[in-house]
Amino acid sequence: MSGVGESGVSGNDGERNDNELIVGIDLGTTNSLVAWFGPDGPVVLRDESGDPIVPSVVTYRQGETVVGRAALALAIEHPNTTLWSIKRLMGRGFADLGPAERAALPYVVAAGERGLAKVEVDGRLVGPEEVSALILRELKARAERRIGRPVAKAVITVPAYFDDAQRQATRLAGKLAGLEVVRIVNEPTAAALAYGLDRTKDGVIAVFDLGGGTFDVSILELREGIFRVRATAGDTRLGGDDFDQKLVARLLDRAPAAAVVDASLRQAVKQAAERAKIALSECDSVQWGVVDERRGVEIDDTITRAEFEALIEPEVARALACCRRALADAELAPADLRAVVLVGGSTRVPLVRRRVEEAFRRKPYIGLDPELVVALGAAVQADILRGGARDLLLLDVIPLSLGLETYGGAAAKVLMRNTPIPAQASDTFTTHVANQTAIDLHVVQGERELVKDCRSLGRFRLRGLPPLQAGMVRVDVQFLVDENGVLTVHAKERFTGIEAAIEVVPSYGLTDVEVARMVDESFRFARQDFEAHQRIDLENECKTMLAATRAVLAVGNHGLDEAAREEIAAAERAVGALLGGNGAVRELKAVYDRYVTATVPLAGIVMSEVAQAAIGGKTVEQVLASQPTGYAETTPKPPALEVGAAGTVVLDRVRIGAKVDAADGGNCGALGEGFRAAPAPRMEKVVGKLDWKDTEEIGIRLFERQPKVDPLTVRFTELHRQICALDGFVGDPKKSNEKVLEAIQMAWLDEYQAAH
Amino acid sequence: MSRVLAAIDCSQCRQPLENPQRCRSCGAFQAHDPRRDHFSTLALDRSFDLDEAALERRVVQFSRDLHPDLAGGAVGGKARAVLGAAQVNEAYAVLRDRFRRGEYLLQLGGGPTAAQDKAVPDGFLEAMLDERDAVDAALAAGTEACDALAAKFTATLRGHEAVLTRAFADLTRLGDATAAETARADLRGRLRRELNVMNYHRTLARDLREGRRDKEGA
Repeated sequence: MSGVGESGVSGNDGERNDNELIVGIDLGTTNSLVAWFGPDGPVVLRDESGDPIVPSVVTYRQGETVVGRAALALAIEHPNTTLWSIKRLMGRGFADLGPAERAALPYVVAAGERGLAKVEVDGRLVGPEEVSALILRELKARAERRIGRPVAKAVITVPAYFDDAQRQATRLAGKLAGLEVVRIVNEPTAAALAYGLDRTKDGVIAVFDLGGGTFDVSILELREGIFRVRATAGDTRLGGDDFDQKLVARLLDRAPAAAVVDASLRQAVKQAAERAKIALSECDSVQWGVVDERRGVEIDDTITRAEFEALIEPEVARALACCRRALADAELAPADLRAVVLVGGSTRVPLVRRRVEEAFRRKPYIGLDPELVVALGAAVQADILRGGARDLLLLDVIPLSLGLETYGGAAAKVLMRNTPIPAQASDTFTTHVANQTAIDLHVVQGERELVKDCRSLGRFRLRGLPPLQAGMVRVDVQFLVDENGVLTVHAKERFTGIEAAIEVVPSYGLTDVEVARMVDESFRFARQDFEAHQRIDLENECKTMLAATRAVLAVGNHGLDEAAREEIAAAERAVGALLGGNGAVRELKAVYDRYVTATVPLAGIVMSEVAQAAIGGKTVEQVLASQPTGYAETTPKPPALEVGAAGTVVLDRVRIGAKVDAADGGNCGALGEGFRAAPAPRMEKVVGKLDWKDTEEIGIRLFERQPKVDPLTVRFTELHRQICALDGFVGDPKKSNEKVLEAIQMAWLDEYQAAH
Repeated sequence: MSRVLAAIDCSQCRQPLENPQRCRSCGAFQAHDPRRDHFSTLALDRSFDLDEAALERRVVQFSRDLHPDLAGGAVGGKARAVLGAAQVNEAYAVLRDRFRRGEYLLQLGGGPTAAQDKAVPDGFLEAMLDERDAVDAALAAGTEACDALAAKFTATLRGHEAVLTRAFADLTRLGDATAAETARADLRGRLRRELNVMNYHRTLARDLREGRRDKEGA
């Protein structure tokens, strides 16, 4: 529980800024999400196709990195350089990972400096923080794209059971991605915050969070708007990945002799297993397998849900043992709970739901999508830190006990697990050797009795003790843990008053030099990335403007005077000269601004023309006849399941050998996403309020109703009427045509260009 | 030993303080008062017979007053909030647990501590060995036996609490007159032995609880 000494926390102290943007990030083992607290509450930020998830997968390919769905699609082609489940390595030593755990990962895990677990990619060692940083950078870019503002701060969630080194590694990953991590929040606590928004009745709830790689259970009490964590328990090595591994092992057992279990086959089997697992949540029996076209090998299996449940029963039992411990720690019985909340994709598995219901003796509550809820809660906490919401507060706890090494290698606990933070406690220690003039204070974290079984967090020395007999010296040691979980230890000798203190930085972590190098590198990348990003956005805007103006001018002169026409032409040439180049973004911005200014008179003329145009009544009836389509339906639907003999669902076998194209989103979807359960209702703005400022969204919705509209042949008044009739529209019904035109531009640009 | 809280006013705006660490009217953090103990930290009267509902309410209210996320813009406000909230949390941990509350009250009243006086009644340790066997037997026998033994431990602990309540009330009644010093020392000795015995029973009850949990978890 300590910090690398980032400035973020104190920066929050004096200057609260309502414009300060802090996003909430759920950095998951298999999937990651980013959310923010928008004008209408917490919203998960989706990509352009409505997908909320960035798979936590990174592929290294010829010196470049690919993140998310695209990386997932490359996994079979690049099995050794596609990294998934990297969260499992965060902040852990090579020796901490058992051989079985390492064997389950298709990439090579090696020991780096000081025994830290690293991944070997193309002959060099990459830290899990660096890989996580790439995922975070992707999320950051998505947030910037969707919100339209730079993002520099984030609240990141971690499993409640993450120890200090794992939290440190997460902070570092944020730093490497150019994000100031203003708070690390426990995932279940974040989930409770998300629920707390609409369920403000006091009471105790249990949050059961089974994700891809980690399991947490937390008992939280909500009382007068304050969330108190009563107990947490969990297992950092238990999750949906383990369910997949059971299926992987089962399928590989059925492999014919000709099969060669190489990395590509492993990746294919893993992806097939994940699909089979998901299908088994809805069907009683699934036929699944892989085809290795390189060797002409097919491996097939049919598995019933009952067989699958027997395979994963031990893992589920482990999770339930944690639940009992958490209840006992909180000194509560199942009857004392008001609700049990499910979080994490793996809680979709029916056996999990059944066992939870049995253990807590009540039906679990599933009001929010278990996959989105943690990110939403992180956004709520971000809003609290920004100074927004004040009616809901969080009192988190220390996940693992903190203590000091005493004589003989025993660990004396000073602050117990589940103590609420901020926390302080003190204890008195003495010398064991006569005339000892210095004491080494070794700070440790963990539940075990011996120091060697605990995690070492740091050491410091109290010098200048009076040379007394053993046991005579009195050293008062005080532990203080702040709201970020950063531990400061202060030691003072009672008679002489000499003292020493440290803010604990884990001895385990990276050295300052290493951190500095990594931060420097990532900043360089971040600047490049940012510039490149800005440039792409600006170029796209330029192209759009050019095309639109050309289309308008192609129809006629619109009564524009000669000088105005020439200025437009000159500005167009200036823009054209810089497009596709690699000059500074600044220059492009300058010519873009000139162009925008030059076209202002034309825009005014066209707008009034369009407003007066009275053509094309037919489109009105078509529009009215078309069914309103909610945005949620535009999310790609899972393909229909093919039902084979005896009610067994037959999955397409994952193929190796077929060329996989990273850019083909559809293909990625088929591999990883094919059998995801139906998308949950969108949490975004769309289901909430819609205003004139949301022209992009309005355009999209109008386009969905009437994709064939010629924007220049539709009556403005008619479009205006349609917009006011959209679900959730709350804008002023008398608003000008300017916004309608903007909406048209957003949605019908291609049509517009094609038509002219 | 009981002490009714003197009304304290805010050092800035002079309004009476509900929370001794931070004024609710003007938001000013108050200077640290070294005389503050766990009771006064939560604005509770110093007594064993505590209104536990009031304790819970105070912790929630004061945690809000002192939450670091709401520390405001004052210089050093965040650090004060962290320390203040940590003190509230520490006070809560001590006072909500009746055994620890008793230990703390005895310490405030001048001890002795458990390390200074380990006395228990004659034959008590032998009896404890039998009790330990009873825990193992109940764990082996199953749910019903465990429930019965847990109920018995709970009744025993309630008994200790009743004794402590009376003894601490007597101690308060003696006041701090010099003439009563012998009587007070005698009473503190009795409290010490009661707490020593209670600690054994508390440990047994905890071992039973954890033993059950481990058994169910396995």
